[in-house]
Amino acid sequence: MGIAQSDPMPPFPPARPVVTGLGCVSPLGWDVPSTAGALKAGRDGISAVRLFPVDTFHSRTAGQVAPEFETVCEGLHLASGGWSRAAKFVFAAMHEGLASRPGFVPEIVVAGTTSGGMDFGETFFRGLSAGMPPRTARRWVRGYMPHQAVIDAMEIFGFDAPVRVVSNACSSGTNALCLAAGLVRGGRVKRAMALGFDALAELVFAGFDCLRASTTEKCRPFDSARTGLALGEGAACFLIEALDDVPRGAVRAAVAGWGFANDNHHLTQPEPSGTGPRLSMQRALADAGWVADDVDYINAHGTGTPFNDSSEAAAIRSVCPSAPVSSTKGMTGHALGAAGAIEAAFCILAMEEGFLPPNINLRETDSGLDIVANTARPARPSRVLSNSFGFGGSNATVLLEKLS
Amino acid sequence: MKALSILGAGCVTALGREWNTVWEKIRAGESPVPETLQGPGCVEPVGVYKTALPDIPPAAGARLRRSGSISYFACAAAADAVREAGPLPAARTALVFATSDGSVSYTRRFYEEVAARGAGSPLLFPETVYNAPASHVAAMLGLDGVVLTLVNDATAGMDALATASEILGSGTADRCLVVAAEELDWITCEGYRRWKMTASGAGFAHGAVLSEGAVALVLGPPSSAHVQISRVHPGRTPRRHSPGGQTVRHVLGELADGATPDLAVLSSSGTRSGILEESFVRECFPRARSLSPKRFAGEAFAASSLLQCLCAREELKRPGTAIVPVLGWSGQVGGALLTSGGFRSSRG
Repeated sequence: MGIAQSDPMPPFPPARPVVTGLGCVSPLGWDVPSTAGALKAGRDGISAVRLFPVDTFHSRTAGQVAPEFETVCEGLHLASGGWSRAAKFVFAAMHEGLASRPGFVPEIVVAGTTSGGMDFGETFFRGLSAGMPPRTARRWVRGYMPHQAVIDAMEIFGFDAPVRVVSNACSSGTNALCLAAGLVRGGRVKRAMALGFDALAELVFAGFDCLRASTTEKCRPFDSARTGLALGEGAACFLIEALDDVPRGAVRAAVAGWGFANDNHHLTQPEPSGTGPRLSMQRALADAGWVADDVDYINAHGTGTPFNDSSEAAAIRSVCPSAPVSSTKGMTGHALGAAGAIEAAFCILAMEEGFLPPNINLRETDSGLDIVANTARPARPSRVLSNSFGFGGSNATVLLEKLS
Repeated sequence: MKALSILGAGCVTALGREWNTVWEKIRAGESPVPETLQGPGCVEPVGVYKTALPDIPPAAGARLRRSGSISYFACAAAADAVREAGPLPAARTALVFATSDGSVSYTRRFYEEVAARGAGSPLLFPETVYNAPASHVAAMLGLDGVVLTLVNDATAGMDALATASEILGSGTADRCLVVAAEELDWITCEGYRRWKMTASGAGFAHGAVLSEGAVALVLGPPSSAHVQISRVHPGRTPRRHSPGGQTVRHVLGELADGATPDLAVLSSSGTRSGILEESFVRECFPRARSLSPKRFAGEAFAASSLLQCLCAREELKRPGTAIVPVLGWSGQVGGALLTSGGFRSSRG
């Protein structure tokens, strides 16, 4: 996408961005169909961490993409084994997304990630003391950079486009989806790809553990006795086009609106009354022209930490008090920069298959919300809201709509 | 794209913080005194241009007491840019922060602790996220709207300018503060040395001297009283098997769009890609004067790409057109075109 002064005037009314292709890799499945089944069944995707030693940490579990995922990578015929774990997630999600809409060539890729190829950075650090050969070092240094996975994926799938990588901590995936949709809405591009990706890494695991944000038992979002989050990983890919440019049969959902807000309270803790989440939800509703009662379901950020859930619940009570709410992080863990993208994919699946995803591991809630407790709820949601919040006071909300 | 006016600017560089001093040194080809960084396991030191930790506004003080130098650089540059531009409408101001390596020093220190004793300090971890500096800048200025952090090679600065244009064009904000910052650490120096990008490694002729710092721009709608960023190309990656230089020529052509720039402010920092850049610019714009600020100020990736824009802005106090190509180390090619009918900044 060459942006030039002579770019056409933005369409009026603005183009309506719609999702026409989807790919997803998460602890619940390696593709969209398997993910949908596990999501509906309320499967617990959290297990003992096997990627690195955790014996020095308080927490020992996380949501991990199953080892059999490697067979998917083999099926992609990747020429080299030198890919970071995050890059493999990007390849798989992008492969599925592109396969779902043949002929789609994006004019820009907007990706959200928190830690990029962190496992390569860790390997580089540990390798220095082991006297690793320089050729290997170069691969690790390049692969550590968050944008490299996307550049490599474009090479594999045979297209090139500008790459924009958002790293707004745990709201990155939602930010990326909204920015990509905004480029289509503003008429700057016809076809955009949005990605969210992150892989479990020892540094990040140690980080949440040292903050005592990770749980030592089950992750129980919105439970009165919740004790913290479980980390997760994965990726999701969205192909976004303008509604007027695609056949109706190709539309999976409209990206109806979004809102971003920054609370300047603390680097890691949300403002207790939920100022940031409230602002982002209000801005999203205003952007879409919706009112609170239009929202059929809220996929909450819902990490399961005492601070996040109480702050978010306060915000939801003040903005959309009657909407059914669930956090799917009890099933998947918190996939950081991928979380918002994965959860937006979950919202699309919920609208397509007619259910509200469950908030598992819930015993009793103090949230004051209508929580979709433990089992999926049959429903016909057509307008849904997904929240993502992150370190640095970053808050993002996206609204998705099923078009009749 | 919606053209952007540069309403204010600030910089914190190894050449200094006061722009006139920095500019005089660049024009004179004067570099800072190099220092070296070397960590455990590194076979040789890497020469760098370090930047002194700047004084920061009191409003940022409490938040920054545990942060890395990148956040100090970002806050100081942002404060200077806002001072020149005048008060920002906080509710209608977006912040776009760009970086390549982010808070690498705290990240390395945290992981060092994890590797050594199986646990890291909770004082270090929060500052490891890429968006920590943006968070501190937003808090210092009370910005509660769109705050984004973009990560890329040196083209991250161009990503940020393109995003600023989109935000202002969408009507979401009336002003956009773009800040790009980098900090040095021995781990990145060693990584780039092994990548054969630094000047101090053995066995290769070319290379950059790494540096650190920040550049901030307050951007607003087009105005004839200010230098304008008329076009931005946010970056394109050459296909591995495409003919050499095709993408660079394509991007330069798109940026110029038939215009004949008077000046090219190059991204060359001494690497082989910089030498190629110089030859492509000479080929495409044979009459343009060229300036390579990174040759003197060092390579600070995203911050350097905005420093290129600052140099172009300075030269455009006289009417003219300047092209700012950016070739990133991940192979991405982007850039900007700046134009002016001539202006005088409030700094004189």
